[in-house]
Amino acid sequence: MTPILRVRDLWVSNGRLAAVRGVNLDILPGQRLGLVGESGAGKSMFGLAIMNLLPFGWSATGSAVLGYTDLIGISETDQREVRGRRVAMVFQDSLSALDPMKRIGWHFKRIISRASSDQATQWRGMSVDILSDLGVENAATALRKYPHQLSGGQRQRILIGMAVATRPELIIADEPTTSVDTAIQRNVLDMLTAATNKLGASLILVTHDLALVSNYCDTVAVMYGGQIVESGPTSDVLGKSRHPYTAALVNSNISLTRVIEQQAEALPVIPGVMPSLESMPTGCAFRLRCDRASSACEEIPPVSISGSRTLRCWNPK
Amino acid sequence: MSSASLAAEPLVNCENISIIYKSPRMSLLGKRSQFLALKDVTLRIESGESLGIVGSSGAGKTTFAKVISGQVLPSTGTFKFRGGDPLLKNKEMYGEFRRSVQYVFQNPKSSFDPRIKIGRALIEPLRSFKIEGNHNEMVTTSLDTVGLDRGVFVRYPHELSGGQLQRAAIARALVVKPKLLIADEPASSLDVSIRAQVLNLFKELSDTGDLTLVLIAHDLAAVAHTSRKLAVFESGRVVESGLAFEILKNPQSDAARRLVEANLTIA
Repeated sequence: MTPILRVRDLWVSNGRLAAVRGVNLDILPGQRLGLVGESGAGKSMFGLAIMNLLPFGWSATGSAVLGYTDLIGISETDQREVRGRRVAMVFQDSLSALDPMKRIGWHFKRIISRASSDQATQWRGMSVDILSDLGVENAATALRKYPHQLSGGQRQRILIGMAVATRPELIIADEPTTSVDTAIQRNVLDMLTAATNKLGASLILVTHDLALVSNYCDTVAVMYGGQIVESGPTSDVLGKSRHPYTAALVNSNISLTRVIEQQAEALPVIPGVMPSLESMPTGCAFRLRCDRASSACEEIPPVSISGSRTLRCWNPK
Repeated sequence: MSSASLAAEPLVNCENISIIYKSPRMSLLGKRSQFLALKDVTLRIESGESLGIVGSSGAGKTTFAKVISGQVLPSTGTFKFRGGDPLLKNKEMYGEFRRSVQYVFQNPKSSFDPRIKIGRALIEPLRSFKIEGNHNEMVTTSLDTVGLDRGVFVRYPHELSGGQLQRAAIARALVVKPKLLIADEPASSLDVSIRAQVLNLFKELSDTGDLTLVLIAHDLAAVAHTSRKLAVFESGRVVESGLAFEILKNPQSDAARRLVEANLTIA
């Protein structure tokens, strides 16, 4: 199958510091990819680079080809054809992603009428259908409300609705559930995956929660220090992790069953913190926190590929 | 009050507490609509106990914490701290209550003044409670307890990572030797790898036994790790309370069952 998005040697930098350092990634049609890592790993910057929404002063080099369009270095006019129409994004903070002065309907109307002028008159019916599918009760009433009148879970559903309204090929969801409750989290993700399935779209789920990835994604890419250190099918990567960082992340995940089983024990901890962009070590970015580090790790490890898995480590498990 | 009756008294005793918030009038003669944030909450917290408070957002968890830390007066019901009502305008007792109950907030980045070094921020409560003694020494002992390097004394908040800063916030709460430590979602703004450090610290603190700990979270696993007892809140009521492991293994109320089901694990 040909990938719908082919990212090659993607770098994001502000001229002095690099947040994303040479990422290669393929996303197949209908695939759900979990992009995992701690804050500062460069996962959000990766998503913003694809959307061409990088903060002022930051720029991307390399290539990210969607169909036949390279999204890196694309002109603003061409970008309008892509952003929101072929690639859509669901942001983390639903309150700041919506205009507080405008009703929900206004947001839908703009998106739908800009995507295609034929449908401009039918925006109301379309958005009611989309929102009902996402489990928003009284969708027609919800369209007349302002963002602050809705609960966090409802607003997140509105954002998902806005993302799928233009039937995009790829949806990037940047931590879509960190601002909602655990009980609602599951429901929001069920809706998101159902909506992408219905469209046949691919999904990049940016998150730091491995349990979410394990339940909702078929492939996973683990990022550390701006690089993808390990990727492959979710069950393989999380079940038989080879990179010490992936193994440590899996190990530090706090699950209820585990807490009940080993009541008194202290939770496993990854020593140290993610290095800041200024203090990124030479060679492998993880080597200062790694218990398997050796002198070889002072060189950047090459990517080794075996089947559908990739790995960037000198001393894998 | 005699010492015998003090020993029998729980540290915190809440009886039938309700909190009613009134919304502003919509018209000149219109009625003010009411919102019940807490309904008839009765809860005892024994000295040295660790209690976890769970529930979905809007269940009244934080409102309850505000009541037991004296930030909000209950509309009806009684709140007793060590057998007395601390909110009567008895200046001495109130001061003692404010010192005995300390609070750790969710986001350590916004609970520290960015222009004040950690050391000074930790001495501040000692000064304002007029506690005598060698302040620098007290702060260093407190930093040792939470496992922070003494070097952070001269650092600014932005120079510390999220996990270190949250531990500094805990050290600041511990420096005045409180009886009750309330932590409102202390680990949810932290990264996965660092979350474990903070939760381990809370577990150590609760295991020592002198400190009473109230931990509020919506992440069940985090609470189950640190607290022995659990109270499940739903729309302002306590719907279930008891030993944490019993509730988690065999939840009785719908709210507890929903929370247990919502907990995802790595398959």
